[in-house]
Amino acid sequence: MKKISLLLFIALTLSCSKELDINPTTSVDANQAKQSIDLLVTGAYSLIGSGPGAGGQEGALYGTDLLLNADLLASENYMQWRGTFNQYNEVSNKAISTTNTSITRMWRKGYGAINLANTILVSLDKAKESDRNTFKGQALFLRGIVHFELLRFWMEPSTNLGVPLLTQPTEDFAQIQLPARATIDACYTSIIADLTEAQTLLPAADDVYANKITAAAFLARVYLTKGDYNNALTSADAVISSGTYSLTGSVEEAFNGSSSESIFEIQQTTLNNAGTANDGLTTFYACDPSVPGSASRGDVGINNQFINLYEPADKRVTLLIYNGTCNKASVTSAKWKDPYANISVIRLSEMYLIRAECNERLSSSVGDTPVNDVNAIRSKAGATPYALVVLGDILLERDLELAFEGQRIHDYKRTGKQIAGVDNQGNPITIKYTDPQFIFPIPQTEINTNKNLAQNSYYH
Amino acid sequence: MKGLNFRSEAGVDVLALYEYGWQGAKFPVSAGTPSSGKYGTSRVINYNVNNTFTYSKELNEVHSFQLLVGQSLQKSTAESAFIQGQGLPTDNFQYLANAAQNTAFSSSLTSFSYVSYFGRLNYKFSNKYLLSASIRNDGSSRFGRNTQYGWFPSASVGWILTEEGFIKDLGIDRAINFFKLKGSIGKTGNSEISNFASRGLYSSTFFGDRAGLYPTQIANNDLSWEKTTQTDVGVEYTLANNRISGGVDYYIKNTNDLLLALPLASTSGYSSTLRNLGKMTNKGWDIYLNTRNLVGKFKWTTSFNISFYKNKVTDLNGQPILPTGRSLNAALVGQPLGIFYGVPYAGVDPVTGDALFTLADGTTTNNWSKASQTANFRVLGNPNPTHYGGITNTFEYLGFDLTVFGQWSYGNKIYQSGGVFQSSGFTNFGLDNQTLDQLHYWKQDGDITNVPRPELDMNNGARTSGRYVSDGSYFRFKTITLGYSLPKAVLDKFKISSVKIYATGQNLFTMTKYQGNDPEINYTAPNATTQSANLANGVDYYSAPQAKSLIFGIKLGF
Repeated sequence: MKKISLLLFIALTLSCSKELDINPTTSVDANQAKQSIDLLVTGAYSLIGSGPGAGGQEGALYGTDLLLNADLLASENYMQWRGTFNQYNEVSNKAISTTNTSITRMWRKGYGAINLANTILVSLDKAKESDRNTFKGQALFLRGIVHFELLRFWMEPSTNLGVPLLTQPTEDFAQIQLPARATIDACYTSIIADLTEAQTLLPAADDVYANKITAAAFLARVYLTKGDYNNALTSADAVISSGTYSLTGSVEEAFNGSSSESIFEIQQTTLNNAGTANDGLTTFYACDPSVPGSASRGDVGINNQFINLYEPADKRVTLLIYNGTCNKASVTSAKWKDPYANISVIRLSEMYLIRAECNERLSSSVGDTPVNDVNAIRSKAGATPYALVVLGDILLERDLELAFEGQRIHDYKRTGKQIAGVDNQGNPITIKYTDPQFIFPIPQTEINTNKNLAQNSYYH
Repeated sequence: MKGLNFRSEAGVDVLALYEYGWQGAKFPVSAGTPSSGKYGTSRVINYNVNNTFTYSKELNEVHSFQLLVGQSLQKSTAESAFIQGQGLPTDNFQYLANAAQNTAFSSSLTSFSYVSYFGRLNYKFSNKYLLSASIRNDGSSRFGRNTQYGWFPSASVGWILTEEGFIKDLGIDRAINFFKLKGSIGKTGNSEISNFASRGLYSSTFFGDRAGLYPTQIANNDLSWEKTTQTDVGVEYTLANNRISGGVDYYIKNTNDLLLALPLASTSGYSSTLRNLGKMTNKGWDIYLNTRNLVGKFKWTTSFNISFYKNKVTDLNGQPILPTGRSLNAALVGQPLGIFYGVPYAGVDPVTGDALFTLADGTTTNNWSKASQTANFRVLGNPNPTHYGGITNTFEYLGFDLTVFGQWSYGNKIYQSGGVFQSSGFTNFGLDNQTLDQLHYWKQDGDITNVPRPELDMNNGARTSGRYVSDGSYFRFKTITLGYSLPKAVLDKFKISSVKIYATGQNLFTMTKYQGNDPEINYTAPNATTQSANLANGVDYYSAPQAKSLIFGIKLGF
């Protein structure tokens, strides 16, 4: 008996060491994951939209923050934040803290997506030869647009500081770098190089991920922001003349779902969306409880000064701005109403407006005349066509057409917009959008962990 | 062989939980949202196998040995699933099965295991001298492949003075019934971290209806046991003809390889990783005393215990862990782990009613965004108590008995992290019931108060700061029981061996200045164990208060 128990003991002892080899079931080992490059590409697209958050999907990057913050930051005479979330209240009131959670999330999720794109770029040998160009193009496209979106919020022209440019992945602890901010020029060079190469590598057609035209459309946006009107014009004209996309028949069609006009969309479904998250775009904008799944908080309210800029019969006001029926009864935008629908990130209208602006600035008429391009947008909305346009008309048309789509502060910064406003005591002041309070702070967590990062001047 | 024993134990624990939920269409907060139903299930299975050999031997009736070697295996698997649907036809339908649309689902399965080998030698000489030495080799699945196992030795000595001949010769055995000196030193390990914390992991995510993968955790193959070396000296005694007994212990715990979440520069794609970093010490006294004050017809006994400890982080590899978001808990060298660290609150400007915050240079500002930079952070309080303990008094007289148990904590601070919603002057759109102190809000020029001017739709001072850190000291009558046992003469008539009628009150009275719901909720384990989650010490976030309860009962014995 004793001998048996001794044998039993030895047998158990030998078998036990294997018991520590337990593998996770709801995640996979990194090395295993990197065998499936196609899944990493989909993962990277997910991260820029209604990507995964702590408790499911959340509204990071294009799912909320990139779009909403660009409008809230230029909220004067435009919109008000009426919600309880301090992070958006701070942006709307230009009292931004370095610990702002929305801003910190943009930075984190942005570099998370860039890191995954870089991982794809160094793992291409795992993909089938025939897929490599496409996957490389997708990764460069994503790295380019995310660096660009971050650059627009964080760059400080007075110090020529852009954002850190990350072109190598971090795959283990030893690889962690403490990058400094690249100059604004270096950022543009890298972004333009990524998108230009993506344009050559991407397929001609793909209606879920980026294709050649998508890359061209983003290039038009990048060149316009940089002030390179010649190249912006070439890219915008290439998108329009490709004929791949066409303006929708009515103004509502372009939103709350796919349309002929949208060049790139964040894909969403009933189960996978930012819109039902606690901080999704439609969570904040929508104020209509009859829409299925809508949180309808009405946290955004549109000011009359802005509404009055439209002609009374303009369908962009009659159909796209409505009196909310939720608890706060906000006057809000119908562009973000259906929480399950795809989020349109870049539309053909914007290409017409870029082409018009660049032709106007360059006194050219590549593709079409500025007045025709602007009237194409206005006639779709039922607004009176212009007989002739000046630059101010085109910029106003951008305000009206691209309202609540995350372009306003970037337009105001690049054009040096100034408006009359009032300070906290009610005294009249001039608000200059090139002032340092309209530039985001480097998040405090990044300043704490990376000694090489310089903070923007307003937050010293 | 005589004296050799083999013991094998195997055990299984199963915990199963099923959860049904229903939200009707008239639910007030979400007027207009469709009714919904949900169903969740979770199951935890724990296996345990223990095998030990013990060998006991006595020599010459004075030497007694006991040797133990063994091994154990523990494996735990937790599984859960959840599904939710919306659009139930009417409020008569309250089950998921009738929902029009599936809106959420999830499932998870995760496990961990421990493998341990251990040996222990006990030696006793004439019941006077006690020696014990042991060693363990523990392995945990949670750690890196190369560093799963840790060695944990320990040794202890004891000396029972009252068994010594020269003490017995003094003839004081009625005054000093028992007296023991003891000391020990030992190493222990902590592995209270998430199950796969050492791995480089990718998880699933979705772009529309396409599935993809994304990285969730950076690999750390060297992640290993957090180790604590504890040195302990103490006495145990019984005095005055067994009327008084008690003990005193003093300990020093030195913890190495603290398991903490290290914040990372998130340009790396990751914002934190669990690392073995830093060192910490805990020093403390545990004192307990039991007395039989009256032993006649009226009996009165008292038992009392008090503990003092000081916790200090001594090394963090030059990387302090600073609080972010709504948290105030930090890890700073020279301070207790989880110290409250943030922007100090400077009260209310009597002229404007604005909330004020203190900057590093000592001036104040009403601009929280400006004040909330790390440069202005200060220590705002210690979540650890100076001392805590309990006291129980029991009285017995003619079949009646009364037991009063009280407990306290003194000197600890509590951070009400829900204060930004619950003590916010209606900033939060009235979605939260406000704490009573909000009634003392600033009303007009000259008012001196700590509660700022309330603003609808505007935030005036309801931000993370020292404003929501307050004293959490309390004394609480935790349980009071009054009972009456029927006399034996009565019982004999009914052939019942005992009948006791009693009433017990729990949490009946509490003495505290704490403004939140309940100071006890904060009360985490003493001597803060060191897992990263425990950085969040002393935080009250919508904690439900301890229930006050009254129980009446009859106990019958046959």
